[in-house]
Amino acid sequence: MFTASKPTGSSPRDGVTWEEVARLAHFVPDIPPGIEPGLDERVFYDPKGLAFPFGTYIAVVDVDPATGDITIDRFLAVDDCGPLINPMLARGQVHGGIAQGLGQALLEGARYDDAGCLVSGNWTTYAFPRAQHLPRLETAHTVTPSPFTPLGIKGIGEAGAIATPPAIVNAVLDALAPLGVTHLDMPLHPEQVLAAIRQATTDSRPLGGTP
Amino acid sequence: MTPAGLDYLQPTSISEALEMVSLHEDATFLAGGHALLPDSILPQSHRRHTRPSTLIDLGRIAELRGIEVLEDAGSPHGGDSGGAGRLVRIGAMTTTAEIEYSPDIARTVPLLSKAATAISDPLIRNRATLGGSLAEADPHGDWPPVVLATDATMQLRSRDSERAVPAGDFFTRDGTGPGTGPTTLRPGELLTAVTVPPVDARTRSTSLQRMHPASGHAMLGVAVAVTVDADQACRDCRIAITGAGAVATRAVGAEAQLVGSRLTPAAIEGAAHAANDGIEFIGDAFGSAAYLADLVPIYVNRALSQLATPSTRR
Repeated sequence: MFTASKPTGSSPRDGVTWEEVARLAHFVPDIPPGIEPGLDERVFYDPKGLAFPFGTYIAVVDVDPATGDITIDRFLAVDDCGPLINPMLARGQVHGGIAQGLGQALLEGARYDDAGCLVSGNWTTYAFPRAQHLPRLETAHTVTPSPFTPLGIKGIGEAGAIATPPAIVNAVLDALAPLGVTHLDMPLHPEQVLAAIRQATTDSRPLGGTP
Repeated sequence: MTPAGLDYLQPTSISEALEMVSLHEDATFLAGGHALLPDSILPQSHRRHTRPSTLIDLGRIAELRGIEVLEDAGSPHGGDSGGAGRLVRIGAMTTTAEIEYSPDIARTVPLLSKAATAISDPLIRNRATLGGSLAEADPHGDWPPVVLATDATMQLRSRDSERAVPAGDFFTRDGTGPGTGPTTLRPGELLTAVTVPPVDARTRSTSLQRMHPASGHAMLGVAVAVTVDADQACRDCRIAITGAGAVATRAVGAEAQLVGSRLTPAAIEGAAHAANDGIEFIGDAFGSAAYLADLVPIYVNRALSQLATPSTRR
């Protein structure tokens, strides 16, 4: 055992320092023939099974029927990534992922003109989520340790980005269901939402009473 | 990324700045720099046809900054302020944040405070200037509709002349000013200050901004000011719109509908219905011209409806 870089034993036979090991690995004056300098070790970790994080995301939205604007009233994210080693970092991962997912659902998209030129090539023409686009996020965790990892831990990095788009789009579709809207393509720009509302209300009889 | 070669000058007085601009061809005044610097420096910028060869930085001219309430303004103001004599003078280099936090502005022209609060973010508001925004006259600028609705007057000076231009004449479709939108600014002319008549107790005003999701500019903005007479009928009203066309404009059709009426839902609906008159809509990927034409009456309606409620008076 080593404490800092000093061997714990009193005699040289008890150990050598890390510095000595590093030095000897590269600068051995009388290296035996056929031996390459350097020190390598490679270990493969073979888990008994894959760890599956899971969670539930809920978006509560309002849709303005006059403008197609979407307002997120509440956004809740409950994730299970096993025991939280660093709760603040885990929350940061969730927040960042939700922002990315919201961008995909509501704002972002590369666009090309008829000549094939990118027309969303800078930050004034490509809308990525800013702080002002994000609602207050309500996050929580359940803790179900994985039986397959040493600490019971599971992934968290992509949870927000994966779960947020369907949560938002499904909430909008739920809001518009009484009007007969059954499908919207991301990103849900207000103009497209308004067009879908008008299409549905002129094409078919509203299912849930008058809009 | 290397900027194109530029001369950079720092005058310390208005007269020095005007002298400099008369001596340098292709010189441009630099205010907060939020439009001009990216356009001048970034090679891929295509908003401006020509890049200035000389930047005249107005940042060291103290007389271009600050807010004053002139109790007895003798000089001609133009506009229809009723001649009460009081006038608020805002130096062209006054920042949006200074307007936002000025108690004098909050007391005399509250619409300016309200509009300032909604512009972009605090970092931009700390740098961006009122005069810079107005001279730039961006079609999606936040300030142009506000000066239209508050009946402001632009104070312009060149080396040899001086003139006061009402906001409504400053933003003109046939203007050839140096900004991205058309203004009446002439070569060598500097916007030195904006003067605004203080509101009285019978004036109510508000503004609504819809921020562009990518650029942060006003995708659409509506500023309204309504003055009522003793029996609550609209005596005078100004409804101004930005983001819809080539330059900010007053919705004169909507204003005419409202004058003489109380702010009833029916009168507001009638005014909103006429709000698109005369606007040639220009859209983009986040809002087509047709969509903007859908939005303008809704925004005018919602702004006027706020004024119909006594709690939001002024």
